[in-house]
Amino acid sequence: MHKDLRIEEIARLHRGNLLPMLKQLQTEFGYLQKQVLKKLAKETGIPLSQIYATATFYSLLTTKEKGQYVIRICESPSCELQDKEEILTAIWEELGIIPRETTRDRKFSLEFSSCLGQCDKGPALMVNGDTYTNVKPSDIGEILSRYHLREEVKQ
Amino acid sequence: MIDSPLALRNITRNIDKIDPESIEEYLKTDGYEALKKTLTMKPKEIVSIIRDSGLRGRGGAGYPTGLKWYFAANTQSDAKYVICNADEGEPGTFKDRILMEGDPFSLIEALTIAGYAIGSNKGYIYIRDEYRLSIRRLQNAIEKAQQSGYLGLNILGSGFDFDLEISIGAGSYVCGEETALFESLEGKRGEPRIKPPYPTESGLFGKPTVINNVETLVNIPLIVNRGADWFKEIGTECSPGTKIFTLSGDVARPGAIELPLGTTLRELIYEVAGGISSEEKLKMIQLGGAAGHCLSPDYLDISLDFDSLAVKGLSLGSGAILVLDESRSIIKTAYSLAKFFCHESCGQCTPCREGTLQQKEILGRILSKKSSEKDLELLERLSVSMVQTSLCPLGQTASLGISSAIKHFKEEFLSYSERGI
Ligand SMILES: Cc1cc2nc3c(=O)[nH]c(=O)nc-3n(C[C@H](O)[C@H](O)[C@H](O)COP(=O)(O)O)c2cc1C
Repeated sequence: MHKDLRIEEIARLHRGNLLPMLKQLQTEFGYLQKQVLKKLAKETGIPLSQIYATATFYSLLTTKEKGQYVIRICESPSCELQDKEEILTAIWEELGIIPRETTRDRKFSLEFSSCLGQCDKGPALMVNGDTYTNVKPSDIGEILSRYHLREEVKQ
Repeated sequence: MIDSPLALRNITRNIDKIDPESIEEYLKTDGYEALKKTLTMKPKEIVSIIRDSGLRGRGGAGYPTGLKWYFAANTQSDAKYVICNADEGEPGTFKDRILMEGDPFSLIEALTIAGYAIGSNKGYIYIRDEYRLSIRRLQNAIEKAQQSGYLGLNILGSGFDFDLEISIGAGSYVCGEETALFESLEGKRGEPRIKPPYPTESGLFGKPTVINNVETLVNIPLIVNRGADWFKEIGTECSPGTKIFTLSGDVARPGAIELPLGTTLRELIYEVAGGISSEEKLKMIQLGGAAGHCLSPDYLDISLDFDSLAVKGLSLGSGAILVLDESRSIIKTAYSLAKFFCHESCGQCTPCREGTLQQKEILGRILSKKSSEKDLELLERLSVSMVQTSLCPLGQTASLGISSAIKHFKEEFLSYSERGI
């Protein structure tokens, strides 16, 4: 199977260093499915328990399927002082999801994040690798439309 | 960067002044002069300069950098490592990001000097995944330094080999703790190790390791170029040099600023940051990040240096300063801190894993006005156990913000308990 071959390659590439393997597997397969982790355990000889324990330790790794774009809203004390609740409302109005939910088309997931290091420009959020600061509720529509658009261009 | 007549531009001298992606521009501003000088000296002499300068770690603990280097330099080993801690996750802190985005070559030059000083040929920069622009700028700087002979084999014909690798985190605050960072770099769960052994003896892959914060490191080329005496003239006697403070919350001009250590909170909030942004009065200052103390305006005149703060049982932490005005709820901020630590506790030791969860639940009760006065006592007792018995500084400090908030704003907490309604 093609996927199995790829797992073997990734395991070899990172020579026993589990975290980069998991990050790359997630990038390529979207999330860390049970089958992928099992295959990785067989390939590397690292116990499955240790692989699972590592995969579930880090906030940016996931063993569950998420949306293609993950919106992460900073909930540090500095950002909490800004109008974070209104941002959440704006996202609810656009996408119909609350934190820890994914849209039905699997395009967007919404999560909270620990401090994003943009504390003088809150509220801050990230969509996958892109950072947005001084976000106003009225910006949400435009920010999200960039990711809708990206899809259309691809198709 | 905040514009202020009080600001110094030492470690921030290149930020917004040169193109951070151009090694040519870096070279024009004395870039790599310090490395050239270093390579004509003995490693021991470099360690002495850093020791003489009195530079102390800017990552939170204020440990003397020269001493760390001295221990690592004097440990015999087939391999040693230097690591830059760029995991910056302390809430309210963004100084390292500004340094990496604005002047990545300084950091790379500093790490190369550190490698030479302790006898290491390999360095790592462990950086959080969220800092995408910093990662790009560092990657570019490493490539350009390699192409120009400032990294790699036989650097500038000196016979010294040194190379750098970037290692990217995966979302975990505790991985900024040095031994958890080693675990993460080794690819595992980021669970702190028991100390001793200390990193200079047994760090990454069990080898002697020097780990320093980004801001600590960028001081190194300046000290090598301008000398320990120049450095000691800035700041206070026991805390020489400058510090980048990052101000957020209810101030008129939030942002980052480089100031001499020993500046007061009053100067920072009222002169640098333009005072409170609203018509309201100042209510609370949290000093040093999520693990820092929540202080009342009575503390405005304390000197922000390692020793003056230690005497009062306080800590400078990362240099983050969160300011709240009178309209804000202390309980909400305390709850936000509790949520943060509960989420970021690694779960390895019981006092921290259970303690941070209980803090969150009790503060949740207080916030929804379902608590009794006993809950405040409970929080205080919990804090004592966490401070005394947690395995690493995360658990040892996870209650400090909350217990200091209770101490200085007890009336507000009481007004939320049943008796007060
Ligand atoms: C929970 C926790 C998080 C930490 N996070 C960081 C961090 O993000 N960056 C950092 O430089 N130091 C951090 N530290 C401090 C490091 O353990 C270590 O003291 C520091 O990297 C040493 O560098 P310095 O001597 O140059 O300050 C953290 C410590 C703890 C307990």
